[in-house]
Amino acid sequence: MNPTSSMTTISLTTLDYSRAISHLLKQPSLTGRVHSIFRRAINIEIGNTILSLLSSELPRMPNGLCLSTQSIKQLLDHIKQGMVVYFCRDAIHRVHPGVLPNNEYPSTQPDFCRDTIHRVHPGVSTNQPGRDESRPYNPSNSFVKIHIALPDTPPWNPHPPIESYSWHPETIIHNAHLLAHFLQTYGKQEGLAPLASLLLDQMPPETPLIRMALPMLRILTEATWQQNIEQLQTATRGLAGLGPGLTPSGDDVLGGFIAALTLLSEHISSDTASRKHLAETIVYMAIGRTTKFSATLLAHAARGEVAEHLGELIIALSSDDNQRLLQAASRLLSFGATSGGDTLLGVLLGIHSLLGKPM
Amino acid sequence: MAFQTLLQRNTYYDSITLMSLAQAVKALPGVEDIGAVMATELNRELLRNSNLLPEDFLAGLDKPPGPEDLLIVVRAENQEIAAAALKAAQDRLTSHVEQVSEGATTTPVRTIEKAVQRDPDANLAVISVAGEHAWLEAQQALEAGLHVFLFSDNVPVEQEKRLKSLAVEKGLLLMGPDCGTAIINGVGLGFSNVVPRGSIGVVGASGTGMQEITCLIAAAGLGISQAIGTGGRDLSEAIGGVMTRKGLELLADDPQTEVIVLVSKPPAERVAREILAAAQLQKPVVAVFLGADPERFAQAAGKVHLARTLTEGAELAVTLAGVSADQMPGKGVLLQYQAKLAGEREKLAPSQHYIRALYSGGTLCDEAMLLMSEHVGPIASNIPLRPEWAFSEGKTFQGHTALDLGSDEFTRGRPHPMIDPTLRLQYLSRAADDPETAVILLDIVLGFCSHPNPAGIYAQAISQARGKAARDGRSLPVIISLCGTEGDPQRLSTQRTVLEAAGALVFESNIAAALAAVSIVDKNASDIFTVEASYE
Repeated sequence: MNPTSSMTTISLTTLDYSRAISHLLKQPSLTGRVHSIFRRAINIEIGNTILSLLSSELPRMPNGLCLSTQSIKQLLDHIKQGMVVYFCRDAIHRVHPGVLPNNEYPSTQPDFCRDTIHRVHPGVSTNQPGRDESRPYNPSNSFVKIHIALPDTPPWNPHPPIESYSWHPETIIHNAHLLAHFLQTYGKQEGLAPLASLLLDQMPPETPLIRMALPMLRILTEATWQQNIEQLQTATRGLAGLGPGLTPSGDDVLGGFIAALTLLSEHISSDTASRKHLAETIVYMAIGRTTKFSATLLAHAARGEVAEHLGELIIALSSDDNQRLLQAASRLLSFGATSGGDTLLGVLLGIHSLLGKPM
Repeated sequence: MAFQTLLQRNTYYDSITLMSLAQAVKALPGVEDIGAVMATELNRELLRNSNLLPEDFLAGLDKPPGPEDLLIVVRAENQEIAAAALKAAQDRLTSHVEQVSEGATTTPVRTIEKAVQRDPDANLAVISVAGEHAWLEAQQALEAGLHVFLFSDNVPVEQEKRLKSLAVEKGLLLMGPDCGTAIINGVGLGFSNVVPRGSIGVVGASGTGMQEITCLIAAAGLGISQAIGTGGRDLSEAIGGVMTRKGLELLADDPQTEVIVLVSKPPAERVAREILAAAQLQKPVVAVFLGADPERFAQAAGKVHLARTLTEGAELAVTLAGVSADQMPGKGVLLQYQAKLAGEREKLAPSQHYIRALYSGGTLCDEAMLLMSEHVGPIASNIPLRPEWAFSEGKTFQGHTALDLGSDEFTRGRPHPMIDPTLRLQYLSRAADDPETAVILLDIVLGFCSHPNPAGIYAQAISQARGKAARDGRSLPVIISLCGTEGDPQRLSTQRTVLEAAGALVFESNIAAALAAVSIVDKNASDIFTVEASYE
């Protein structure tokens, strides 16, 4: 049977992508597995990281490619969780799961990059090594080849341009106070956002989540100020993987906290010390304790690479423009169920820590 | 007390889905609590601390749960209730998966009738088919009890009259034909922007005009209750303002609306009088009859506040809503650019005399021409303000020039320039190559249905054009009238940053952009930098 008789090709145009994943996209070939599928996003697991294919309706993410809503719909038609995918310079090829040995990807031979059909044996046991190319995968012999073309315009930089702004401690303190009020008023009660009350010298409500998180957050802020690695590890062990969500609440707080450390410590620390290196400790401790997706975002944050709406909020902290700051906070809060509020809490705790203020 | 647990390996749902699932299941009779979390070590401890993890949970598992696994636990009065609650949770997750895949694979319906059968709760139809067929679809939608957003143009005027009569009879809205923009209950239709909900309602016969006004109002920190499009011909003598009147009635009765803005080109005299009469409401009303001297309608205006430009209209509306218009990027922003604009003027070569405006739509082009012509005189155009300002045959540019590249002659067989910049880029290049061009003026309109990243495209072209002009010994200022908001998919500030990095001067008010262009070619136009008194 002619192997090309029923090949479907989908061409997708990337509207934008994060500079932080350029190194992945420049490799001649790359393999991954479909980690999770959502209405407007598809996550691909590649080694220890997650690459996100995002609808243009979503804010840009440091690990993301931005596709049109139509492209995402096209992908949803053809991609299932667990599928192995191949990136091959401007292309993704899809191969059905259940064909490959357990947890093994095929070798990335140059012929994957050519326009070929990969015929695979149906129902092959995961105990059998290799694959049998002599028999078709399915009776119709149909495959899907997906091209993703990168745009000519430069990729989006997920590292906010901190150096382009002036950072005055009085402005930061004022803005942090304003945001704490905002978070206390508008943050969802299900996550850790209610802890904003502590930043306003008020008692937060008690929930099982808060009871577990609060002592660890106190240790986190103190350990960061003291640059105490051991205590930092303790705090991270007590927060990474804690709470609801694909990015658990504790992780979101850590993410905001790390962002504040890496992006602001050289500009606002009361003792002028940089605490960027502490972010790596947090990320290292989080791996294995939380979801791979969350660990990916934490790793990006440790490099100062953050989601678009978080970057805008951090930049707005430098400004006297209250309206701009609160608009940025509103956008952040509207992200996810509790993620936005928890992330904002993390930023505020990070600022408090850098200013040497106990929690 | 009884527990039921569900562990799904390598399973991921977004947090909103899990949260709403938990809320729904917890509300079931007999259910005491539910946890739906990723099975990390700390979350298992959290569940234990919440008395939500049975002690024997781990015993029955072949391998321990991990961070990539979804764990749902239900605690209820008895096993039966717990089992039923867990099943309800599973059913919700299954239906969520089906919705995600259905979103991609649902066979589209082909008739209004089938659409209504599939979704009986729908109350609005969006129709965009060829004009000659659009009336039938709109009629069927109205007869099915749906409001209609009719994007199609080229619908015969007689059909429009009949459709609008039918709509009024049924108490429905017929927004259109040729309606490009609406925002109904916070949902944008057609070309629209992400603006906050608020207290200012808009009724408009001009889509881009409504976009500019709603974006300026959002920039002032206020929001939009509703933006009701009426179609471009509603205020003509033939139609008589039927939907404009309906829109006014609806906004007058809407408790969320405190100030009303009407936007259109100057209507026919009789229609204007009737509409202004209908606008004598308790709520303040601003009428923007684009380009019309307010004196022309002053006698009929009564309580209605008349404005000549979109920016003025937005400033009036914001002021009437009790907020200072200082935050709005209006004409006042020109003061900040006075020195820079003077600098651009001084750098011009002797041959450079003319403004070349390349607009993607008629409303903003008209507004720009109106203001520019008051300072620089005749402006040649394909939609000239006066017949004698039409192009001579074969000319692309003729002195000061303003083109509406969204008009029919430019869009036949090709996408609108708000979506596809190809044609406008060609004109940009031609304008840049012309040694008589002193300044290029462009509008870029963001929002839904517009190009996802116009700045990325235009910035490159602007850099190249300016670079080429520089090599030829000319400076080439480029001014952008940028309409959009921070909430738009393209993000206003991001677009602005990219365009400014390419050397463009960016204004978020069309009249500011137009007057900035004037200041570059007319050194005597110093009055454009004076800000008028506030509207009190």
